[in-house]
Amino acid sequence: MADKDKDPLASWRDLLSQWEQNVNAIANRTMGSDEYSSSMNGAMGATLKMQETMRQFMAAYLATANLPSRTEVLGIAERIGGVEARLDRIAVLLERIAAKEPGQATAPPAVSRPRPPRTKSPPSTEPSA
Amino acid sequence: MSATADRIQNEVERAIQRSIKGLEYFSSPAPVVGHTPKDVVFERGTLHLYHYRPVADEIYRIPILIVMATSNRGYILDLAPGQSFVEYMIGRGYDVYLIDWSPPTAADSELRFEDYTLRFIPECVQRVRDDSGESDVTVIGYCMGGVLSVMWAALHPDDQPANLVCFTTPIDFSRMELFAKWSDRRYFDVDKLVDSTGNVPSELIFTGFEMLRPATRIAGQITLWENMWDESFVRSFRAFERWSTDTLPLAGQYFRETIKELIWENRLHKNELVIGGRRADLRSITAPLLHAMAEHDHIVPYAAAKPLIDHVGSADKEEIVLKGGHVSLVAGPNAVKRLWPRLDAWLGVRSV
Repeated sequence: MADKDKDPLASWRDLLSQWEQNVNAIANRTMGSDEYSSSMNGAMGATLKMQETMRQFMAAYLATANLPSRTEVLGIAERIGGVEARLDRIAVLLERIAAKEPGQATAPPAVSRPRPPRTKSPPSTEPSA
Repeated sequence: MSATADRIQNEVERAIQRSIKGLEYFSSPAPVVGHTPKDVVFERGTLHLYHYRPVADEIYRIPILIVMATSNRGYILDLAPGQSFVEYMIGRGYDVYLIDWSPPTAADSELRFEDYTLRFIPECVQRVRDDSGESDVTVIGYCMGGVLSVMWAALHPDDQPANLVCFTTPIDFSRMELFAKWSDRRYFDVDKLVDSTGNVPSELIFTGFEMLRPATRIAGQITLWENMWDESFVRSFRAFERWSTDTLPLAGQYFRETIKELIWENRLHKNELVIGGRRADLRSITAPLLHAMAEHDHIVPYAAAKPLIDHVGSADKEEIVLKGGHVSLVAGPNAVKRLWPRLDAWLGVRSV
């Protein structure tokens, strides 16, 4: 308490904290009303509509300029992603086949690195030195 | 008199430091996060499974698989040296794996609960088993990562985790009052949103979180300026700031199901949620369960998270409510003192 009295910024911090709590509480009350929910979702609907109109306009423009649209570029990215995913699946299959080779009891770890032994006990049950 | 002079001198020095470091702040690059060495075990689309390299001489028998929330980056659990949950756990002798998510692509917009709980998590659990050579796996889920972990465990009564740990995991979505209000079915057309955007943009998710505490960002900036002289405060603040603005888009179908099945119908709480033709009955969860919640959680209030313990069928179950908020529960200087040691004490004896 004595330290707080000496700190010239302590009152300012308390004031800031109080302000933050009050504004949050008031805002939460306002945002918890039906009216707010209705108007917020109305605004979101209007934004979505505007974005859709813009998207259609841009798609028509890009087609005229003989340029790929964002959807088309994303389509190519997806196909590359698909190829990578298929390669992942092939790698998994190869790992499993390798695990079945003589001398391989289980699938090898994803990264070959020395691992510590799994012998740890919780501190209270560890034998004392 | 001398004490007053010292204080004035101290404040003047801080004011000078604020100006100098303020300039540095605006000209320096973003802080480095996620520093703990790790290897990629498996990746598929939006999913990335990492294994953190053990540092202890011996480790617990049972590995841990952390399921991160789908709306945020996993580096909140590996924020900075000394403030990293992952670093703490590997230091305490755990073998840690983490499922992290990257932004879903247009092809991922059809992902649904079924993909996360019947495909992604089971596949990762199997990967951890193969990689570690252990059949038992502890699963830890944070926020929606906890919800997905709970759904997965409820859908697999014959393949339970060795332990299930949930951090701030909502079950009764009717008690997430502001989110429930904003997505009121009378006004919120989720189909229109998802049909026109594919994946739900990260800006919308970020704004949703921000609107819960509209004054907090301004107060945070003022507090930052006040503490600009303190390098460790600024470093920590910037890491948190970077993470909180680094929100992920959500897969469209997954978002649609979250709104309709969880928020509108509250089916998980009612034990009526059906995924891939199977009912996710929380009573089917029999693994030892720890649920950690925060006293001042503005995103997942206690009332929304509390029912988990009552609903599960586990004989060994415990809930803890700690001081802090949704994020400070799991990361930052308070988590170092509160949650992490409590989790270590609970999990250590169950990891041999």
